[in-house]
Amino acid sequence: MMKAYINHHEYAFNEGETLYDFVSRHLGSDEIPVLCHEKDLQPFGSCRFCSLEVAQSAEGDRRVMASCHTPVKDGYYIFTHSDRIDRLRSTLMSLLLSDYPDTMLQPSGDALPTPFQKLVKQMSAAGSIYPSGKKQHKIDTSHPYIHFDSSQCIHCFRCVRACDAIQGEMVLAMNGRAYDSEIIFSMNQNVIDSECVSCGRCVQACPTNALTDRYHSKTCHADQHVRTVCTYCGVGCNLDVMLKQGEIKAITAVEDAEVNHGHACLKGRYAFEYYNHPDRLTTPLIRRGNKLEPASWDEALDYIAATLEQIKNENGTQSIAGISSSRCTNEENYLMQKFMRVVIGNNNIDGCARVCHAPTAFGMREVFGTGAATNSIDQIPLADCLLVVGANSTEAHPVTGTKIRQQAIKGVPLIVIDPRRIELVRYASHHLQLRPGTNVALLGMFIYYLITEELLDQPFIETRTEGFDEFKQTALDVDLDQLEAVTGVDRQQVRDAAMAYGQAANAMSFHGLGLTEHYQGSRGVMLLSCIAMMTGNIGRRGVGVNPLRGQNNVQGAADMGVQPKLGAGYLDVADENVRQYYEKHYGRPVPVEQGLTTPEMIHAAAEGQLKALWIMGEDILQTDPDTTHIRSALKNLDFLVVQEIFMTETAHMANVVLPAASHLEKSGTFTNGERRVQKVNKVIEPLADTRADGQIIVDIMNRMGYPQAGYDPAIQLEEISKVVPFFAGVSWDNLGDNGKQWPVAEDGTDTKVLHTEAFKRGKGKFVFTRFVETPELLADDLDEYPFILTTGRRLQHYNCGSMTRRTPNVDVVSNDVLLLNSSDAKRYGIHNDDRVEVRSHQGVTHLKARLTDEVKTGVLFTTFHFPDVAINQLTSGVLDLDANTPEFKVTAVAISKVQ
Amino acid sequence: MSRNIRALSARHNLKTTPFELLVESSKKTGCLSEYQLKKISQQTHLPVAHLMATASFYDFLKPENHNKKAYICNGTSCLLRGRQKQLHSALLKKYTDNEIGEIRCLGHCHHGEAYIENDRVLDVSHCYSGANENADKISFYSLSAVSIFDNQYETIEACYQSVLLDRQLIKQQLNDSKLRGRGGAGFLFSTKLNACASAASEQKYIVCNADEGDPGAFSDRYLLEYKPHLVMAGMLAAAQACGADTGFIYVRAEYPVAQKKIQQAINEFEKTEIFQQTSFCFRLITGAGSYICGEETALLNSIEGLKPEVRTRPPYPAEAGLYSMPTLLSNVETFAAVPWILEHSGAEYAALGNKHSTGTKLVCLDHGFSHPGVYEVEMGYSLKQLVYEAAGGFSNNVKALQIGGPLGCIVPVEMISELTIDFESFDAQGLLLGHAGIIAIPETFPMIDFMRHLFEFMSQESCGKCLPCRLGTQKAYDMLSLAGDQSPVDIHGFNDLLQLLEDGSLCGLGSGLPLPVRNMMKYFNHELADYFSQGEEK
Repeated sequence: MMKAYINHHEYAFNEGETLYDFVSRHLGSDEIPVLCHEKDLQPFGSCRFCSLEVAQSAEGDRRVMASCHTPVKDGYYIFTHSDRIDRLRSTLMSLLLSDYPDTMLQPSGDALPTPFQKLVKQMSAAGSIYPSGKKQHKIDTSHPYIHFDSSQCIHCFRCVRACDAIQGEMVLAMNGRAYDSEIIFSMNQNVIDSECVSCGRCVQACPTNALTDRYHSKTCHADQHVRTVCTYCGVGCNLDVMLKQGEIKAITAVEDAEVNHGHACLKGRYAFEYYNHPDRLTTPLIRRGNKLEPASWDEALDYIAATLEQIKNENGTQSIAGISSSRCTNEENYLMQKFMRVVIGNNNIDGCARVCHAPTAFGMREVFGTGAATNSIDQIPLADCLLVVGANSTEAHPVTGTKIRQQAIKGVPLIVIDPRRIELVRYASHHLQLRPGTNVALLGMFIYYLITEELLDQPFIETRTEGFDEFKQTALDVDLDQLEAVTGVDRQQVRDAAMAYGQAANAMSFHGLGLTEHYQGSRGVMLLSCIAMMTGNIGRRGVGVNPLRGQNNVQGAADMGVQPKLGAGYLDVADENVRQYYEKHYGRPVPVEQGLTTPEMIHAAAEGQLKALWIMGEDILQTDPDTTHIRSALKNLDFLVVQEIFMTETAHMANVVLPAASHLEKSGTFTNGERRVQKVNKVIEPLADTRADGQIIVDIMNRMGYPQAGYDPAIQLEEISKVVPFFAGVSWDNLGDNGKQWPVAEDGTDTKVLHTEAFKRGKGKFVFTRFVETPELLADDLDEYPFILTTGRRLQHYNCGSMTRRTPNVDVVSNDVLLLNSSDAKRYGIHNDDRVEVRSHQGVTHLKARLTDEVKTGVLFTTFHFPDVAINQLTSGVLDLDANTPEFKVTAVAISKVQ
Repeated sequence: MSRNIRALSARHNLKTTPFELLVESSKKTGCLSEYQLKKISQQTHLPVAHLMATASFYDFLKPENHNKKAYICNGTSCLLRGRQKQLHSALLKKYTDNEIGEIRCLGHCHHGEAYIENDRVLDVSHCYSGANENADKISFYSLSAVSIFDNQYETIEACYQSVLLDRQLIKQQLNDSKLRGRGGAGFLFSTKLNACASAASEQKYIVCNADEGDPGAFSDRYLLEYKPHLVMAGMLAAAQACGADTGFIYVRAEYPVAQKKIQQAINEFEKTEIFQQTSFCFRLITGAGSYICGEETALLNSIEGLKPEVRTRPPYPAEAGLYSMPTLLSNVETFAAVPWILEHSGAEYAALGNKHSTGTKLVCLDHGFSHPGVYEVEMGYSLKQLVYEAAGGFSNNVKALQIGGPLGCIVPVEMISELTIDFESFDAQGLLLGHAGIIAIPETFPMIDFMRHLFEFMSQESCGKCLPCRLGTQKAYDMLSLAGDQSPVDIHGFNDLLQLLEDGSLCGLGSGLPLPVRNMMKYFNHELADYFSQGEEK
């Protein structure tokens, strides 16, 4: 055993351990003061407060060493305090104080002290014997969230290092040299004008108040902390919500969270002010004539129950449908599908997965037997090659995005298949910039080269899969000239990328809606899944096929049975045994008739077959394609119920609007994109007269004659664990702080990697599909619509924007803009900030232009966060052939400059 | 130190590095505009903030100097010569005040009146006459029976051929030679060489530290300008022993002639058959004005396009140096001694000097001596003999020498006879030989001003990474600047600062400064006492 002595006491140390880690491990982290050191960052050796005396023998000559970056050696005698060290630290402090504003040495008001202020107090430091510098200080409050005061900067570089080593944005730097150096954002710009993405990690890292945020999250003196899960995407970051007297004051990222390790993006960390925004719905509303008028809960619920009964009696059970919400908890989604299936009595239940990852669920299920991510996000560093298809993780999945980017920067080969030159491309080794809508063609070429370059994992193919010979034959029988022409990507580039993927020991793929929201969306997912199988990149750590889930609980909603064909736990309701299984648990029969997907519901409403629709937490009018069509369909309904927290475009059309509680106001579980079921803990009581979505469903179930216990995640989880096989070992009490990744065995053991021994479906199934052009681009009058519009998301806003638009995020990004290639802009005489009319077969809207080389000529890009742009007026009714998911990513449009 | 920036920079490894792009781009237009920085960012994928910050670090790239046409040397020797004002007024005939900058140091300490304009280092007479040629000639005197650096080779080829020996033999000879690094620290060269040679890595590098920034030193400049092949052959030998395929020579911006000579020598080397046989590449990296780049890890960072801030150690460069690969880094004079050792033998080299300091040493004497120049002496040579006999004594009345640069010791003239030119003699007196550049401090120059000069120099050249050096050098300078009869420097606070610099600094810049300062306080207390508060040491 290797031993060293701390203040003459003997302790064991670990190989390579630093003096600081060694001493802190044995004597606690307060033993050695530090300012520049932080556990998530590499030792830097800047502040020198951690200096210790070290000798080779008990009485030997002592040398001063900085403990944060000096390794312990056998037989070291370490002294944490001595006159020399105390003197050194007080001189350091005196130097710092000579330039530090006297008024900032203590926390103001009831704020907690910063680490620096703590050290000042601990050392009883006051004033300085050294002359004060004549520095000009900069105070920058240009940004709604992140503020900078250079007078409190102690040059520890932690912000610079955090922005670099954690966020990977590298916006911060120490400009200049020596005493005159100073922190800059981008090119010495104000924070708001810089490339800062306001993730707030620098603020968290800063040991003083040089970098602070709007909520003073670092020094918030909370009387209560609640750990919960972010609502803004499928990454599932754990957040620490701080309260004072029951009011939310600040949010920060949880340091020890397995998902995010103290990191978050600006949505999770800062965009919470929506929760008590004056626009929050606080009372039920019932339409009387043209107006939505306030009503009591009893009134509203009675009215709904009576109306639904009446519609059911008059038009049959099939005339009612429900759309559940991926923003809601597992328990709420479970209740919603149960409500439709056993109380209303049909399978007309769908959710927003329909407009995003239904093709993933379908495609991966076809190939593997399970439609969920095969691996875990923390395995990204284990991969030797990363493949990202149709996903802009930097903006849509920021914390996972940083992990992918960190690897790419360090030189791990990264293949990006995307029509846009997204931010990741900057660091990627391969960018296959295909024409939107040609994933299947491109992946076909990719497969072709994996075969011809002999990059197959034959033993894996032979033992674990079926159908490869036929697959191979069809895959080789492709017309490369044609594929090259339709994708617009040089075959050599595809070959190089395929070789990078195929030669990697561990290749890991990620995909997003750029793969799924297409005419051949599910087919694209199937090809991507086959690519993993043929190269043996599945069933172990650091590989696999990993969909990046959009909404916070889109995985969970599907798991809970929010889809017409499959009930809770993905059991096929067409199967008699399955129906009996459900009946046993629900105490009521489960209907056999096939249910409607969301687009089918819209269609049925437009045709007059569907009479009533219940929508929980989704603004389909803004987020689903072809707004005009949806509007007329919704108008055609007899009865529309919307549960919402804000008056959305869809809610405006409702007969009854029910004010729901936000995710901060209820408990439950969310399942993130890596199948991790995590606890959402109620932070505050529901606002005014709002109710948890789950409670609303329970209330209506009871009113309609089904006895359902009140909304309580512990109770519902117990029920779910009995119904959903892969939730067998899940209970509210055993989820712990970091949740569990399903399947969870009865003894509580969870699963990091799927398909390790065998696929869920037994053998993996190879399915090849040829490229087929989308009907959207086969219209007779296509000449009049020469551009392809493709849509996506921006970092600052979430989905329809109803929440983020009601936070200061809107001061960072205040509208949707149209990205168009500079040469196209030139041809149309369009300049930056010009207003452009964009017109499709379906509709027309106006947007501000932004010239870019992010998209190729002929391709336009925008987002769907703002209702005044309402870009989905333009998107088409083309659906994925297998999963009915709308083709948001390809719309034929024409543009003209608005004069 | 950023792993990300390093990884991104490494993608450009042997092509044009991001740092070179900054330097080239700046040379083309005389400045680095935001547009240029953005363009380089696009080209290299390095973030703009980082590129801007990096550029702002270097004297020849920083925005404050974009309009500068000429820079006057403010190195110690030029300061002591006292001709800067005269030079400045002469330059005002050509340039506006704004267009005249300041630089440390041009390595023309034998003249002591240098300025640089358009990559030419000139002196006052040129400024007056408008003469174009570089009249600078360094006088070289070998006082050693055997001259290590005066080796004559029939051809360039022969010079390189002479070092192409068996790897083991090279290591053996260098072990035997007991050659110690000439950059100042005196570290045993073979220890570094063996560490690099035994490191397990496919990729290794040799780096020659030709960033001789210490005022008073110009021996490396002499070797680079007059004996470039000797230096490079030494690097090639080290590469043979270590298994490295590339040698970087980092020549500072203040040495434009040396840069040209090295580039010329590289071109000549590449015409030899040796180049074909060995496929060894030399790469000249031109600096951009920063003293700290002479610190080995700052130098490596500079090549990599990182800000030249000092790295924490371990790891040492021999384990993880340039781009984290094992790297043998040593200085010009050390490499230049290698060909002689291999041609003769390590033992023969070790026979020169005393037993511990072997071989010969180049000593630079500045304009304060009657015969300034570069002197080659056998280790152990009498300082007195060198100063008073070989160099002909002083050109003016001198009270002290500073030996080994601004971090070197201050030796009162009375002590000259007690010292010999070798590491041990200096160690014994609590002094340092350093690289043995010697500056003569005139009787008339106040020691308080000399002390201020040292602190000013260091406060401006500190990389700013560690707190003791960044704040300590500046605050000490401020204290000395404010010091007068009425408000003496608080001696306790000042001593605390010195102790902090010595104990707490990340590198030798901060930790080395207390030596000359304490020497001054010890030997010139009579001059300095009035400036410091009196009081018992706490």
